[in-house]
Amino acid sequence: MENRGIVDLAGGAFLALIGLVFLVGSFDYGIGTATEMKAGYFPMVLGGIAAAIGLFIAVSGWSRPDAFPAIPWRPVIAITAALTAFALLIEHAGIIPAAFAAVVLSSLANAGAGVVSTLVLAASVSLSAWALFSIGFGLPIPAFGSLL
Amino acid sequence: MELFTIGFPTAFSLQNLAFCFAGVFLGTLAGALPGIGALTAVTLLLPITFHLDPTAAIIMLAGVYYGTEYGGSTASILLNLPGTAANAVTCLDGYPMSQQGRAGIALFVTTIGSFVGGSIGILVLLALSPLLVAFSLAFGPAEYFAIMVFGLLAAATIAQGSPIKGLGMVVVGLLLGTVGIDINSGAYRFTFGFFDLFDGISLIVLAMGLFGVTEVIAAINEQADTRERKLNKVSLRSMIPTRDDVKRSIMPILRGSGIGCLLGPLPGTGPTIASFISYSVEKRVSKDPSRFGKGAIEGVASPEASNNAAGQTAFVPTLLLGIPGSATMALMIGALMIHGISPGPRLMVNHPEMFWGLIASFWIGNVLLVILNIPLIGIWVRLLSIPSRFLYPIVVVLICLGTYTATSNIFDIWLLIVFGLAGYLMRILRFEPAPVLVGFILGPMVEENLRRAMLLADGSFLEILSRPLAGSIIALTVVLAVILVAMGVKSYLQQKGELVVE
Repeated sequence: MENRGIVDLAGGAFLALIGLVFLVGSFDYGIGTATEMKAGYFPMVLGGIAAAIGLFIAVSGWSRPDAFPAIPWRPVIAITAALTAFALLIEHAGIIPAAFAAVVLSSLANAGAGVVSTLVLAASVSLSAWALFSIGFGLPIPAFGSLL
Repeated sequence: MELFTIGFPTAFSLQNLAFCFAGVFLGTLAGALPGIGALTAVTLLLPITFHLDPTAAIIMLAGVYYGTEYGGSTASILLNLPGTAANAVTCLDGYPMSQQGRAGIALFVTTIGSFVGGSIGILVLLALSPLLVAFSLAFGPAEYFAIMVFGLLAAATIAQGSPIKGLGMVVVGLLLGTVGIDINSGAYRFTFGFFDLFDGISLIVLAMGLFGVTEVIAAINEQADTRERKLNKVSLRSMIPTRDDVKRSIMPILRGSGIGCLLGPLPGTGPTIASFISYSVEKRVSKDPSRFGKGAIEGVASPEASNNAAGQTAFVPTLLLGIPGSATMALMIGALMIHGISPGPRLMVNHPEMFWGLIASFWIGNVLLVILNIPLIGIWVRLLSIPSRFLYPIVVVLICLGTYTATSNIFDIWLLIVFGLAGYLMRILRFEPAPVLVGFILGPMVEENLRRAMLLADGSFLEILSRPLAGSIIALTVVLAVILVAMGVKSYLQQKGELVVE
């Protein structure tokens, strides 16, 4: 299947959207004049430029045939899950469970990771993370939190 | 003179020496590992610098930066995988040398070339600094605005990928820089209702997302293709070059250093482009260009000298004008600003111990790197045989902890996920994330100088154009833009032509 310029169309549209969000938003902060610029002036100009560039990329990409690249879902999901688990665990469960979960989940990004080697890696990384950050740098993050 | 009275005593203090060593050690490590370049390595270490004194912090980060250039050649020569982009060209002749059993000699020559290049780069940095400071005293807000716009345009468009996309990314970076409180009016801009965004987006979160998370996802995906690697042992004895090798390398190393020194301070060029240009120069001046690509020693000596020379001279505009030529240099500025130090012409006067200490540390670091890369080469070779699937989970934990400990705010980790995924989407859509960071760092300064310049010029842009210095920089910017547009149109027409032929 051939999608006409789908990569640049999507990228340009994305960029134009970001530009528009800032362009529209900038009016809330007052534009002012060229002599005395208010908070909205600079983002307004830049938002307009971003929208124009995005539009240009989308339009000029339209004539170039291009297939949308395959997204490697496995690493994307595994890394996102690892970061999410860390965010959910670090405050209440402590540094060791958070780092352990992050290592195990990010190891799932590779198809070939063995169970034993992953667990050994997770254990050693979480222990060294605790030793480095909590003891070495003296940061107030407990090894295990109160909820566990 | 201050180099010896202030610089070396500062750099030789036990603390700074230790951090210099840590920097070049970690830099060599990151450089040797394919997929982790200077940008990712500096990003990962940025949070640690919160806990250090600013001089030690910048000495360490700089050590990481030029250390990657030494380490990167190891993977290029032994595995045919560039450790960093600036070492890619070293694969062309380094890997054939390795296949001919001359890996040791290639590694020796690149290290010596890097050292000579680095040393010449430092000398040029010393010579240029006072000139640039004198020159920049004539700068007002209009001139700063003009030169920043020029720097942004060049940094975004010359180095990589499509120029128009690079420009788009720089504008996104400038826009992200406006998030948070506006220092002039006190307005909270683009916080989208999040209290946590009132202070703006944290540099660490943005860099970790764009260069940490994004790189890890991309690297995992790419390494799935490269399976078993065969590594040759490298002994010290095998590193001794023949007399012919030495004779062949001297001039290429000097030529490479010269090219590197020239391109390093210019925005957008830097080590990668310097290495490519010096390779093609060597090929052109060679009596027998057909040897290139088959293990010519000139082809590894010159680019490696060049990228190190450029690495050192890149600090000239970064430290003395506060204008970074690349995303890595933007991070250096960010690291200084975290400590409330703004780089610029007054850095040398206001923080002499930092400025001269840093330059002295460059020399110490380069000596340490020679030791790390010649007698201790065996460590890095063994390191390359560790499967990278063990590496990425460790990097993920470093990203998480680095981001979290910088502010102790969970919100920053959610934001990290957003930037990481957005960065990966950008990669898929063939946008380079690096210019975003350059825009982000310079954004507030560009806005501030523009406001002041326009206030002084009474709102007339013509008034700014009529200032000789600002006007000529803007003219230069326009010329650059015209060249870029012309190149873009040309490649667009070519692609169209190919379509018709099909």
